[in-house]
Amino acid sequence: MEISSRPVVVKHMPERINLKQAKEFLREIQPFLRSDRPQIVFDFTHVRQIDAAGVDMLLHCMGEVMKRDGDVKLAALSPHAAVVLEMTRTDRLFEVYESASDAVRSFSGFLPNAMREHRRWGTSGEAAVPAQLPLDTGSTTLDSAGVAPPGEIAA
Amino acid sequence: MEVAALIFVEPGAADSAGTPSVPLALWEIFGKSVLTRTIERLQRSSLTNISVFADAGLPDSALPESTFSAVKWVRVAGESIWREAENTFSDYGHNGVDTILAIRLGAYTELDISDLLRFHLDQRTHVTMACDASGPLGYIAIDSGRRNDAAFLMRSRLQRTRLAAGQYPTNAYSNRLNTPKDFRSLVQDGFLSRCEIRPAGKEIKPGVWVEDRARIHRSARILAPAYIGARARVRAAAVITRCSAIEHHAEVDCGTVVEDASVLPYTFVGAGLDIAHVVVGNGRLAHVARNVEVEITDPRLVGMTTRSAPLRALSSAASLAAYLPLQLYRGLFAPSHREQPSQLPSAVGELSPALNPPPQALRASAQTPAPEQFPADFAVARRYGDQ
Repeated sequence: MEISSRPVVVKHMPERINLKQAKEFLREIQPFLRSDRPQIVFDFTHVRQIDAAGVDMLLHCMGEVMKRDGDVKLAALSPHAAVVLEMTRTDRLFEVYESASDAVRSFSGFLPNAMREHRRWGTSGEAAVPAQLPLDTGSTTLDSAGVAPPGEIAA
Repeated sequence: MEVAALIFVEPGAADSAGTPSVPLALWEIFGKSVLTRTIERLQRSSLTNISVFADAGLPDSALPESTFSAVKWVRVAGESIWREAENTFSDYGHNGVDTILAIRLGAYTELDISDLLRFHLDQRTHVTMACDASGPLGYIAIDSGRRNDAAFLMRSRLQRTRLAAGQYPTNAYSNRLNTPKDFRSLVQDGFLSRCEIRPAGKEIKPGVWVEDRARIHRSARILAPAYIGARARVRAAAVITRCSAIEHHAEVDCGTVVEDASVLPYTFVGAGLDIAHVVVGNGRLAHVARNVEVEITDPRLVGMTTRSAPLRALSSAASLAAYLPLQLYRGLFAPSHREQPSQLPSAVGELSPALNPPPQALRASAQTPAPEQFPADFAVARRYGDQ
């Protein structure tokens, strides 16, 4: 498995995410959001209540991170959080994992297909035709559940 | 023969504040709750002596007390319901009632009440329970003279009888209404004509029922089967589809999609939401597919509108009056969210290769009728993934 050298930040969300809590939380994670290509996991284990301000905060984090070519993933969604995210159509914007460790592992598993092929061909020095290569399902493309992340499904 | 009915409505699970939630039997389906429909069914079977026992913690608005003035409403707290029912049972016995029908809601059933009572008399049993293939339905006929049997029955919350009871088998339509999923299946059965419940109002197009004074924006889409209750409001670009029921005085805000869901009376559903496979109302949202019920405290997502008509009118007038000043204020003083790019990569400033004049080879090849292959310096404008 190829391991990313960049750190993954796991942040536990507060029990209630309302306007006040969301602002406070945003202030806490601001340095991580502004780092280069941030990799962040929000752990929702303790979340019992989330409102529109919380959803807005998640979208803000996503926007900031995407600007810096990073990613935010969600883990261990409580039923309340899952329902609210589904209702606000936010769940489809994030990758959601059962646990924080799964989410962390998924960062190390991601590599674009083009980059993998470039590495494979680049090291051997051969310009092989992809169709002639042996079929390689590659452990790097699979997460712990054996499911390829959406961006990884090869054409 | 004189017959009386005792109906028991037990509260649902308590919310975070300790207030008992409204039970499923009081949630409205096409404008009427199961309790209302049960009372109507009893009255159609010529039962005039009806008493309803409900928990004192239930909100007044949940019970149709004003609709049925002839019905005796008893509101007591907790276990006192059953003691009060014993007293009422004795009173009916003293007043010459022969048979008493005890109903625990619950289940919605369309059994023939007259047939049940006839069966009870024919079998000469003291207690007769209506059952279907899945078990008892919560309908029990008792002779008014059997006070000890009645007391035992009520102390066990209509769960057990002192002596072996007769069983009245029925295959009439019934729904146990144990979970919100059962509630949704009852709504769907109503839409699909599988039971006697039918959407009220006018069928404005096949499968779409709209009641009086419902307001639907012209850009909203109502796809059959769907029901919009009286004075409900569906705002611009909202979509109501797949057996969804918007009950009376409910409001669906702009752009919200309501799919396979029930919006209970006086519920406000916020803008741009996706309400699918849920029953929403009374500040709670029950997700049928996930089998969870959550409390929504943010009024921007799900809220309650006031039941008072003057207050609603006042609120609408205030929001109308405040609209223009608010827009003006936002236009003048609200901070702009538009961000100016500070450091653009140098590549952004460069001209695209596609804007360069065509090379000599390309110009020459353009004159030929069918070029064999692309020139080597042909720019690839877009490339996706590993292609």
